[in-house]
Amino acid sequence: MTRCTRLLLALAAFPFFLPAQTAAPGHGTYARIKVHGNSLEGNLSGEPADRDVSIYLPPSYQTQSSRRYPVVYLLHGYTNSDVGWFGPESRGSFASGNTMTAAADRAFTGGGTQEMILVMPNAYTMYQGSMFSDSATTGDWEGFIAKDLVAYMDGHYRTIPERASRGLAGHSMGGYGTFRIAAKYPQVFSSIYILSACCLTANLNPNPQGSAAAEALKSPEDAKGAARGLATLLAEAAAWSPNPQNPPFYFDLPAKDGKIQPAVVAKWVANAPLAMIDQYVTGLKTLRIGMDVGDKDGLSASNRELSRVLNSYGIPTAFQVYDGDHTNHIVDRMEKVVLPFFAKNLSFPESR
Amino acid sequence: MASARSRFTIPLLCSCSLALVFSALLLSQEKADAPKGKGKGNNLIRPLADLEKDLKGKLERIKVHGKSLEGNLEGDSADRDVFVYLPPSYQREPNRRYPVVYTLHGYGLHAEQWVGFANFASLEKDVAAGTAKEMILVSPDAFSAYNGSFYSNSPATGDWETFLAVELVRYIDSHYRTLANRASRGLMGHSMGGYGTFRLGMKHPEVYSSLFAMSACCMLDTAEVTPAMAQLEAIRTKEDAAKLPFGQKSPLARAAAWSADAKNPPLFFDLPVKDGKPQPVIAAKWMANSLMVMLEQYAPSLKKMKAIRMNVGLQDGLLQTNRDMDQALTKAGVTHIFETFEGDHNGQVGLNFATQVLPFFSDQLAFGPEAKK
Repeated sequence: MTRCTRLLLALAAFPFFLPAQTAAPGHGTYARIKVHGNSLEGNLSGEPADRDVSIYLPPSYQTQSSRRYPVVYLLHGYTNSDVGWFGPESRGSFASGNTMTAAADRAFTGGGTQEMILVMPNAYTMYQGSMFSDSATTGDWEGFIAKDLVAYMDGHYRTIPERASRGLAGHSMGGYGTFRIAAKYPQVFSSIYILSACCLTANLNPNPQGSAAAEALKSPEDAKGAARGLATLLAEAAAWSPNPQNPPFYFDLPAKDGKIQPAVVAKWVANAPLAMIDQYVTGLKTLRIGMDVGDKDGLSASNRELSRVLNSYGIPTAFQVYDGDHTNHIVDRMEKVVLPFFAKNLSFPESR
Repeated sequence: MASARSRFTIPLLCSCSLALVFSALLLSQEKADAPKGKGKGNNLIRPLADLEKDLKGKLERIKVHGKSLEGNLEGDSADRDVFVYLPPSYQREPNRRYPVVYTLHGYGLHAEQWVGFANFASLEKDVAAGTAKEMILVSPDAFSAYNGSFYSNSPATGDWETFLAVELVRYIDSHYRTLANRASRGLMGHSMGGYGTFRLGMKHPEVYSSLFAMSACCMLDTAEVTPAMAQLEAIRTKEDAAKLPFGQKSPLARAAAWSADAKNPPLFFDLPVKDGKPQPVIAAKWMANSLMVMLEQYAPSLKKMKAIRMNVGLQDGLLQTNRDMDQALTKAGVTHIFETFEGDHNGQVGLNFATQVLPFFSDQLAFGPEAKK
């Protein structure tokens, strides 16, 4: 972590000092703020509707006080958070000081990529990830990102508040969120980039015993620190099969007492991009889409399939399969492929 | 209403219109029974000429172009027939504006038949009796290559959601004296149209404020591979499809609406069965278009509605699935009214339209100051 970043992080912890922030030449400004989500109010999990949001303002933002910028909204993966990308808890390819902030600085100074504002909301929930879905139990994360967060950014920062200058990208669970939010809100974003998306394929035949560990839990408190497999099941149930009549978890599981619950399975199926995609083709056709996946990622086949289906409808995907696994090159991809993709596809009226 | 029915003349429509109506029941997944009282079925669709005879208002037949329907792979026309009913005062009071109720017909019908099936003329009797207020009624035609679009968004059939919720509303608002706001806009439909009512309400809560779904279909379609479904594999061309008996075409319509495949000419859809084996990916797509399943993702939209009402006949094969939907709506916290009535899938449509649907929208929609007179 550079001294500058550390200083900025310290400042970010005290919003009172935010206006005084300055960035060294060649460095962007990072801040972590709170944004209230009307769309998240009243969620049955009791998740706070005030969310942490990481914001990166590009180097020239502080010096060119009337310049406006495109905004790229970023969605992190499951079990991760915004500070897992921007620090201080950076992990995976972002670890060892190679944060999203550092990668963006490189891309925007000398990297030849035009400057943009980057925004990442914290979607870490009690079950370690919101799945970016629209659920009575988890909250309407689609609306939070496409409406509340976009309105906040356009209201508080020098953005170019137009679809043509708004991008959306995410990794893994965030790649899934990118697809579903763009499919549902194509009027808000004009370009999207999907990295190693999870959860693309519908599972019509889940393991009947798969819910047993979740059924054994007595309260959401017991879910704290759950192993990844169990936590994932809880997060998906909260996102995809909410049940306001079923406290204390307020969701249904795909199996009960070892018996598959077909109605619940159907709801999960309906949230799989490869099952929902045909309904959203008209909207998807209006987007510029980039996507990639590592050749050693277990998700490479399903991502190939998503690209194939999009292509079959005449939607280009600029799809790349690169040498890598699910996480080891994400920060490089962001710097060298994703940000340049948005620089190419978003509208930068002021620099033309 | 009963007196209105007794004056039905012998239908001019051929007997196939009866088949059209009853085919709505052949949405096989939900195992609808054959309707009781078949013999009376011929009277269910009031011919347009008869309906117009004693109309004091005006029924216009127009064409509306759907940009969202252009380029649909099955080759349906993007210029759609639309019937627009204008109430009697519309001509007399050139400054008055009216709420609009958009009405969606069932599978196998054309808009023209729906106007007579629901019997738009009932509105004038209701207004005379004081049970309803004057409003504009709109009926778009969604008859497609396989007898019904399912009001979905599909590359094969076109984007019916956008056509109806955006383009048609814009057209009507700019060509007629409507109260062009959400509070004065209702949406209703029967069977496939009831499905469309929920679906469009879920996806476009900013457009409509009240919904009425009559005997809605397609609550949960798991695309089960029945022998009848398996036989459809033999259908390879549009000519094959055209030769199918009417009642067997509905899976083709659902495949076009829910599992389009741009790379699979000449029909441009995939069936949930291939070489006799179930296709889970396709079944998943059909499930993903089922209302019970969409509800979880779209409950917030439905919660924005001022009023939602749904009904179903106690002798309708769709009774149980509608009861399931009622419970699911309650579970999701969506305020609504669910009613059952003595009757089957089709027999009470005209009566319910007059005694339930029109009074419902008269209560729920926002009327202009003139209507308060």
